[in-house]
Amino acid sequence: MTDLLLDPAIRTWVFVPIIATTFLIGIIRHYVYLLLLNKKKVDLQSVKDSHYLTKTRLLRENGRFLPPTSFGMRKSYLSDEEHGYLPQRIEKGPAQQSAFDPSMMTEMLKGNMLNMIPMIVIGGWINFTFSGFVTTKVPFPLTYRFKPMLQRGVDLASLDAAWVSSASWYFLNVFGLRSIYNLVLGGENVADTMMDEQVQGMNNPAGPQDPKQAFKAEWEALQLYFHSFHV
Amino acid sequence: MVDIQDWTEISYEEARSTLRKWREEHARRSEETVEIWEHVLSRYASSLKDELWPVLEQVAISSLDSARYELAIECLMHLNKRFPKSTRVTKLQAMRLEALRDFKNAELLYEKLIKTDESNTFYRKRKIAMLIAQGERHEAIRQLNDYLETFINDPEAWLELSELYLQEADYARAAFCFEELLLANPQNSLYLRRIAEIRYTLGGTENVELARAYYEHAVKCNNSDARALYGVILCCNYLLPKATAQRKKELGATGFKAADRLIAVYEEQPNENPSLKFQIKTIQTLKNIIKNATA
Repeated sequence: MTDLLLDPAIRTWVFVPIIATTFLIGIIRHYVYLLLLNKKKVDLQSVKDSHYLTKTRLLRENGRFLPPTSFGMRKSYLSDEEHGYLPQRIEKGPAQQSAFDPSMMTEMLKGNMLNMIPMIVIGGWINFTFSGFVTTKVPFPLTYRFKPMLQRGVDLASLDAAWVSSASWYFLNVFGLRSIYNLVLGGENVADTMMDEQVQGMNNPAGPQDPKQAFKAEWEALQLYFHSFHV
Repeated sequence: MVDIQDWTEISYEEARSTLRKWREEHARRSEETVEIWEHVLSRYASSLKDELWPVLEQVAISSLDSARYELAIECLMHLNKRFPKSTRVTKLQAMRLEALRDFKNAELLYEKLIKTDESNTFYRKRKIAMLIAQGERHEAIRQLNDYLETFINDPEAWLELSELYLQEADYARAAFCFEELLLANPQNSLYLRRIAEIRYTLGGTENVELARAYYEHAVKCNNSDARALYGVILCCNYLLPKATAQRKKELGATGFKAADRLIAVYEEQPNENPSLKFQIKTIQTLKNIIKNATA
């Protein structure tokens, strides 16, 4: 299969502009997110919970440095059936849910909208503007199955599947530029976290249940721990 | 020992990087910071650009620490002009009131700040610090306990609480605080040694046994810790009269090893020590006491 020679004009007017557009849209998305961001109202109870969970874990890990009386004192404070902190939290867990749902929902919705809409709009525009020709060749061989997906608008049955259209180049850019965003915008930025949030969007509805599970897990682990003073 | 250095003649670059280093390390070198600012950096305020603001904050806190109140007011004025409604600047203002011993108004400001951000530990801790500065130990202990119910993992707070308990001679509770610290940092020889010292002070065979175990672990973590080595010798000394025969042998061996290690530590010291002979003689005497008790 001889290599195709592409018109240099494609490089100048398609290849590079798509990179530039994707990059700039990402930066704009980051700043828009900052503008729309609500300051997170911190809940004292959840802060307290996370500290207690850490304390229980530390007690389990380093309990051998404490004499038996001290260890027993702390263990009963945390895990005692009637007065201990963990069982109380296990029971009270579900009550906290309802207050969270509205604010959490809007946050997720905002995040998703901000990420999805530009991607769809720009993707559609690119498909419309730059259609009918191949833009680039991916360096690894692809099977025949990828052709309809990656070669929109180019209906050549004999064309090697490695040649892709501009739409697929756009999507490649969206994923690939994440590390550049890290360099430019420094660390935590929205353009980077988009993909993780989409994946975790499924897990979020299960979130409110998690503290209760965490407490239960820690409580069980503490019950199972056998203490011996061994400095 | 910190080398005394003349900070008035250093270059702009050096001054800037030194201050940045101290900012990152949270080093408390307040007088030197004020000196660097006054002699070097204040002339280059425009070259600092955006770094000017954290530097001003650092200088403000250092000047409060060195009782240079006019300089503090100056810095605060600049910061206030640039960041009019900032909680960070309000915090500095509250700290200034605290430094001037205007505790009532400072407390009002801190209360306001706590209301805006419930989970911020800094404001709460400064409120408690004010109580300690006024000498209200009991109230401070009560409030510190309340604070620790929520923020149970704060090592600074536990350290401060144990200090307060020690001042009240409540050794049992002070030991409790150090145990909390130990849970978070089990290999820290300082905590191990102090817990051992508190246990030794409490007295009684059980406590001194625990003290001995902690002292030995402290020695394991830090081989040349002279205080811990002395601690081991004293604990063995205490425990020997009432110990069983086999235990006596163990304790004697431990005591000897500690004493030998201690002599080695003293002899390794590079500095000229005028009383070296006497110190070694003392350790030899301790060793003999152990030998006689073991025999």
